[in-house]
Parts: sequence; structure tokens; C-alpha cells
Amino acid sequence: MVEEKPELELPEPQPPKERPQGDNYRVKAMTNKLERHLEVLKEQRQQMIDKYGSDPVYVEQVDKALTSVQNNLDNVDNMKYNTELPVIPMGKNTHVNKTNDGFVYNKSKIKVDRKLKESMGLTQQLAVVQSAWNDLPDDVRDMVKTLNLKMSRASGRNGYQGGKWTDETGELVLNIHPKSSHVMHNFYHEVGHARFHQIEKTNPEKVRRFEERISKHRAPTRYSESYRHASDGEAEYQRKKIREFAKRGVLMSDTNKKIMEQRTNVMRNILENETHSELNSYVMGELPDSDITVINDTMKDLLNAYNELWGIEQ
Amino acid sequence: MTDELEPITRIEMLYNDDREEVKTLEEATWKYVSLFDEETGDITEQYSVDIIDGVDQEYVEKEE
Repeated sequence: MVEEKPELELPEPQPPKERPQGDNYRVKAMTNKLERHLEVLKEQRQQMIDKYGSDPVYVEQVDKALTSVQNNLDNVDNMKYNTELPVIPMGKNTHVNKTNDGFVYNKSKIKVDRKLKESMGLTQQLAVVQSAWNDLPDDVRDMVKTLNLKMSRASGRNGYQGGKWTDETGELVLNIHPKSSHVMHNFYHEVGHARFHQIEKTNPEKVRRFEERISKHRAPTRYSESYRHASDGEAEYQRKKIREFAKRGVLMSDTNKKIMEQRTNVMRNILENETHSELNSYVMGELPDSDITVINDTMKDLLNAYNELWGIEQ
Repeated sequence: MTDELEPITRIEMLYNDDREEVKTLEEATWKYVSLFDEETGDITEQYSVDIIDGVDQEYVEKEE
């Protein structure tokens, strides 16, 4: 018989009037994230003391984490992200429905893998995701029809795992791993996809302008630059095909012209979409500088393109 | 040689833990998959999948 592990509790959501308000979305969302993390750590520390006693050996790890999170919280206003990145205006955040796990919603369906509440590390990650979700503006939260939080089975050195966005169904899946330090990055990366698809539908001309601006530069991270390489590979493939047709005296059929256009659209879409998601994570302070592979002036131009896309005043 | 080109409906990229693109499953710890509409080229789905010990978990049956 498999013994059922007890589920750990998540923090209650803040009422709307206490959620981040005002201009700087990032600073307030980051502060909330750190406070929620601290809350969960303190509760877990108490649970360990109740279970094992106050011998430092049992609480050493949790104390280290507490000190680190508290230091970040104390310095949140002075973090580089919060002194050098653009101020981000936040929309209304008024939803009051809440799940048993404290996720607020309007019409979204929230699914939480029970395994995520059975370990302390996973519960900490779940708590910061809950905080980020609860701090999203209403209109962004409403884009997500289903938020599906699952436990990752990744075995990589950093336990890296990402997420999934399905535009047709509006499902955002986030795979959470106890050793990962990327969960918030992944969350904002996938939210970035949702937002990008939305703006493509409502303001395609803004997306074309974004595309034009980012095309002058390398992509900001190795990850996003990999799509530039794929795009270059596709351009070379198309040139080769055109040369082959010309050499054989074969005229390009209308069908083939249409397919080439589709292939070009694919590469353009994926490059600008992934670049935008990386910028979205960076602007939210959840992509470390060490991941940025372009020089400062390039990054400034890329951030200006992001700001223009979102109508953020510079 | 066929004269017909194929639309792109799926792109898979392999990465290691440092989020660097790699070429083989053995080097990869995860992959990112993007699916596209075959007419317009619009993105329809984007997701990541674990690669565990060189085995692509997308094609491994999961225990329920």
C-alpha cells in the first residue's frame, strides 16, 4: 500500500485592494513573490521544528534559504532590474474567485498537480508561481483559459524544464522541478507567448514594427539566437531551391510560392515570438544578466522595441 | 527529385541545461517544439519536453 504524503499549504491570496497597484508592476510583483516565498519558508521551518526539534542540523538548509530570500527582499528597490529596467504600468487586478490553493481567477481553470504540494521545495516554487499568477493584471490572466501546473520529471543538472502555451485552447502548462531556478522565468516566458499572440490579433502593425526593429540585431540570449540560426538556415534552403529550379529551367509553381511564403512566415513568427518571450522574462526581472549575450547598446534597442510594442513610455 | 516543397508544421530545437542549442539527443536535456498552421505559418502550440539520458520523453509512454 502506498502511503499518502500530507499536502503542504499555500498562502492565501491578497484581496484586490492589497495587490500591486500603481506603475511599477515588476518591483511590486517581485516584492510579493519574495514575501510569499518567505511566508512558506517560515511555515516549513516551524513544521520541521515541530517534527524534529530545534536542532540546527534540521533547519540549516531552510535557514540559508530564509536569509537569502530576506536579503533579496530587503534590497528589492536597489536591484539592478529595478533601477535600470523600464517602469511597467499594470492593468487592473480585481478577480476575487479563488481556488482551494489560493489561485485567483475569473474564468480560467486552474489545475495543480497534487505532487507539487507533497515536497517542501516544490511547494516553495508553487507558492511563487501562485504569487506571480495572482499579480497578473485581469486581462492577461483572462487570456489563459487553463493554467496547468505539473511536476517535472526532468533529470538534467539544473533540473531545467519549461512550459507550454497552446494558443488555440489558451492552455498554459508549467512544469515545476524542485531543483530548478527557472520557474519564474518559464512562467513569464509562457505568459509572453500568450501576450504576443494576443497583440498579433489586435495590433498586427505593432508586431510588424517590433519585427523590423529586432531584425537589426542579434537575439538577446543563446536560446532566442538559436531561432535566428534556424531562420538563416531556412533562408539558405530557399535560395538553394530557387537556384535548383532556375538551373533546371523549371518555373516556380503558385503552390510552391505559397509554401515558401508559409515557410518564411514560420521562421519570422518563431524568431520574433521567442525573442519577445525572452525580453518579457528579462523585463520582469526573471532572466539573469548572465543569460544575455548581446552588448548593452543592443539590449537597449531590443528593450526599446519591447517598450514600443507594449506602449510603455520611455 | 520532387518539385513540390513542404510547408513547415513543426520545429524541434534541442538544448542543454545552459540553454545552448545542441545537435544530438545525447547532449540535450530538453527540447522545445513549435507547431505551425500549414497554410499561414502561424504558431499554434509551443512546448518543452524533457530529454532524459538521451531519450526523448515525448515518445515515452507515461505511467498514470
